[in-house]
Amino acid sequence: MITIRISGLSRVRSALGADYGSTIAVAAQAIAKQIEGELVAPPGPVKHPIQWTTPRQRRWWYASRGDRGPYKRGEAGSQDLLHSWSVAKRGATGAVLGSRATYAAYVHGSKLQQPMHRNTGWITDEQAIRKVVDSGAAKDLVVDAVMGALRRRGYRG
Amino acid sequence: MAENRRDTDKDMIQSESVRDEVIRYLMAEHDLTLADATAEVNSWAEST
Repeated sequence: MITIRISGLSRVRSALGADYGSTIAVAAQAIAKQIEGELVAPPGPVKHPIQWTTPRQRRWWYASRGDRGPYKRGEAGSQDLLHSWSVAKRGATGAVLGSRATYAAYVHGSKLQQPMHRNTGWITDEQAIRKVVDSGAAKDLVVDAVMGALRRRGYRG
Repeated sequence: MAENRRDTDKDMIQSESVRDEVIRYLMAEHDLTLADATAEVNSWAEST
């Protein structure tokens, strides 16, 4: 599992007191939403020809489509990956981002992503996390949550 | 010249981010140097 660790907050922990857990939980959930935003960014049209991993995979796909014709994102009956995400609280301070779409790992999983999805431009979970961390957005969300909590507790600088 | 400096200071104040405010808090309330406070904030969110 790829994670973002929020740490090094021992000094503000004592200052935030009973608000510490909820403050970090808010930051963690905001970070998870930011990662979701990266994952659902439309990657553009499917790239042809489709790069199948195996002939068996291609045969399975066309057999499963039956007479429905070419797949359209979000079509009726689709698990609608783009709108399948949700953020849940994990423990006192954590958050987890998950998808209801059973095939999400084959589109976004850094280990399982299929070549045709990479070619289309879908980014992996790892790339999305790196983007949110490397851009400084994750830190900014923690900083915003901490400063907001400090102000609510009376800190005025 | 003095007016230019005031304008520069004003720009700096206007561009001050919440991050800078937290760094200042760590320096004031926890007696950290600017370098230590900055390093501490930079360690708050890392991918593993």
